Amino acid sequence: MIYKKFKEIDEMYYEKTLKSGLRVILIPRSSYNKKYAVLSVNVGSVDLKLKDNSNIIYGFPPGTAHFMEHILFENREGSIIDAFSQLGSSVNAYTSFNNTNYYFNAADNFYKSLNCLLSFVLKPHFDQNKIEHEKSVIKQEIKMYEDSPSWQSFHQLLQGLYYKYPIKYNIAGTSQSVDKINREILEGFFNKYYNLDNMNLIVIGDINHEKLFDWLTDKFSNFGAEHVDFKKIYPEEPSGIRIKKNEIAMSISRPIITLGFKENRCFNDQRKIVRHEMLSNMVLEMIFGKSNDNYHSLYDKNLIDENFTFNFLQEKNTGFAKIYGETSHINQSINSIVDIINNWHRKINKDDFEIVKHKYIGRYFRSLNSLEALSSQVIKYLNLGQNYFDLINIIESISLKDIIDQYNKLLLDQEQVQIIIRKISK
Amino acid sequence: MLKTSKFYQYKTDNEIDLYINYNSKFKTNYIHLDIIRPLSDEAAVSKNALIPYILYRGSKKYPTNQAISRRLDRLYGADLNVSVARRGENQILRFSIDIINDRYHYGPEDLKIAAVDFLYELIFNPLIVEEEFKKAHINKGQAFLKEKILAMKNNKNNYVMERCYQEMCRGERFSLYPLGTIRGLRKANCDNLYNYYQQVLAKSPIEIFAVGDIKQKKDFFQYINKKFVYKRNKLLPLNNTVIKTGGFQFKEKEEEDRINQTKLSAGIRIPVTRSHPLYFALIVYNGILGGFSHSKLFTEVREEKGLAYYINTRLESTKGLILINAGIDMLDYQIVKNIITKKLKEMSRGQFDDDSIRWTKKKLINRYKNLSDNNHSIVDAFLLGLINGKQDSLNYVINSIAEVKKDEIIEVAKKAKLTTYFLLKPGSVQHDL
Repeated sequence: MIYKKFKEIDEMYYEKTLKSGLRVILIPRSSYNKKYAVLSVNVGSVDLKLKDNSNIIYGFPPGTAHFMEHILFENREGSIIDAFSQLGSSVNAYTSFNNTNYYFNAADNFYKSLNCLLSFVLKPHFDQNKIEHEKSVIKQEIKMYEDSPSWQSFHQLLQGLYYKYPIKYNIAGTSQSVDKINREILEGFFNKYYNLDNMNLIVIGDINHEKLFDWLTDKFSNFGAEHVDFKKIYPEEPSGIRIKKNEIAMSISRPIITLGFKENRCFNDQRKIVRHEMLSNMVLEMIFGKSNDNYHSLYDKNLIDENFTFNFLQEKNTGFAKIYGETSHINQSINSIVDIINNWHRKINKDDFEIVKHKYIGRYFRSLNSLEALSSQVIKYLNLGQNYFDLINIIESISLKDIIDQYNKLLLDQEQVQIIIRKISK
Repeated sequence: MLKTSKFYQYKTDNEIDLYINYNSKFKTNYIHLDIIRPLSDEAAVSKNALIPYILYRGSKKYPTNQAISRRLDRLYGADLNVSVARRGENQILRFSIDIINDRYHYGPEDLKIAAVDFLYELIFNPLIVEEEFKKAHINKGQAFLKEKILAMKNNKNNYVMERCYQEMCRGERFSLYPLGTIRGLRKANCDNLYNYYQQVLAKSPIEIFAVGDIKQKKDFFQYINKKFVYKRNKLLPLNNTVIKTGGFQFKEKEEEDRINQTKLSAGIRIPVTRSHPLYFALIVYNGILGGFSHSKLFTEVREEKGLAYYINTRLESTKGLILINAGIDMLDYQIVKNIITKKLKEMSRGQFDDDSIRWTKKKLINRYKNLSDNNHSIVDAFLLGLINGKQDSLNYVINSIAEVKKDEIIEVAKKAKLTTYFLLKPGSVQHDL
């Protein structure tokens, strides 16, 4: 068992890998009523291909991971939802690019709820009728997202950034790809990915670590060490962007512009990814944060509004910066943003850097308040071989030189994807 | 055991209410100030909504939005929120700051005091030029508010809910969008806006909430008491809501838009609010009908028939309204309507089993217990109690929910009247704001 105390942030961390291969993390929160547990499977929307130990390659239609998330709620013994309702706890799940997460929150009946969670995720029942039923629900979910302008801008951006990397596919897939999914595909997917040594269980709340680990050891006493050998395969992604400019039209109040910059480097050392993502976000904050002139010069010229946002996402194999704004002056806005980026190195200011650091430290502390938000960060960092509670040290270790280096590589004079969502006129 | 902390109540010499919820569970301290106005008419609502967005452009001490942002970032990226909300027929101008707990920084400043000072500067010490807000800030505020009103249609789900409220409450003040309207903004007399704002500050109930590591409660209160000194008149009431109990006419409205999915809202009247003896039965009723994933609507529409990804209910307990919301295929509209009608009937005939009551109660109790783990929710829930003149402790709420009887739920169900359907369906763009 690993135990760590993070004194500066008042946090504790327990970690233990059980014989069955399941890794368990406990973050005690004695002052909270809520107890939160998430079983996180290391498979997400980008995992569409794998090679097993006999070198056989398996492929899955886009949306399979998300379909699995839906179908596991259909159980032989009865409704999963009802089982949790009976306990008063709330259960749900979500699929991201890299993970499928099944979670519940409970003020009472924690262990009974945990038992339910583990049972339904680990004991699937793939009934063809239920599969067909779920297809119609998922198609409605896809339609719901398609009507969201911010979702569309993100989706279009990924289409522009990537040639092959499956991050470009909608997490839920398309109506067509969902139609291809059947019992055989789901069984194959489950057998490969849903093994205990490919999962993490994260528990946050007023829970005693000894009791939790004993309970889980007991629960899995009949499970042997589960290990399925496979290698996830991703297509080779060419460097550079796929589409420079794309326009669509939606029924919205004002046009939306989205710019994307692709990080072409791969990081073999996973520990560097976290730091890289943080400092890339700080670069964007230094250029476009509300504290400095650029944001206000754009705002005062009506080239952006309060909905202006930016962020940088780093994955194992790729990364990208996204800049989002709403404006009636589309071209002027895009040109000004690009200009600001390409001229920023002339006005770098040490004082701005200190302010940005302050801001990120505060933002980090705030992220620890919500158990849901905390758990998703813990999962993300865990997958990268990092502890989210170390992030404060990473932020503090970042220097202005790091920021400028990253600016030179990611942004200065780089090509960018431009997505424009025009307004449908009557 | 329930872990919760209570609110300590204070009143400043000029009748500003302060509620301190002392606990050390959060990494931040949350300071929140509400100015409460009656939702009165289109012009006044638009004019009120304008004020926070003018103030946000700059104050005397922080004369530009950039100066405001710079100060906040220096305060470890303190999270400032400026917004306008509607609770019942009240319009609430809200300002809040979430700032890191003083345990986590080494600087000399007391950050919760810095947050109070900052809110004071923003709200009570605006940038005034010749007895008026700075002209450029008024213009920016107006442009911003206008865009925000128009942006209502970008989120189709919210648009449909708001339109349903408008149709069902036509002629009542609740139908006013809390941010106002473009027409209202045009109609509003924006001369002497600062003078108007001074009246607002003089006459409106002002509620301050502080949630977090505030051990020296009395000192904190005294600090606010000494700082927030200005001339106050007789205050307007805290709640201005009128509950309509009859004379409803069934209405069905639809609009078209360039969308993929049909979105519907069904509006239900239930004249039961917080001080009503059936209030807790109403909470359970809403839960059984559509509050959860084991609820009647979700079970049939999604789990049995696969007609929707989402179908849920939203309770407005100050005005006594429930909205049923769903995203469906236009072809299934009649089927979904029939299911809604059937479920409402089943509720009033008592056709729901003991399990659904028991599970709903447990889920509600879980939700109430979890509420005290979120500093924003703590304030939101407490404010609703204040407005409705009934501040129940969490323990009391939980016990009251546990005691709700089936008969009482049926009694609530019999009071429920489905009065309105609003539908946004795929087609050409029709609506105009």
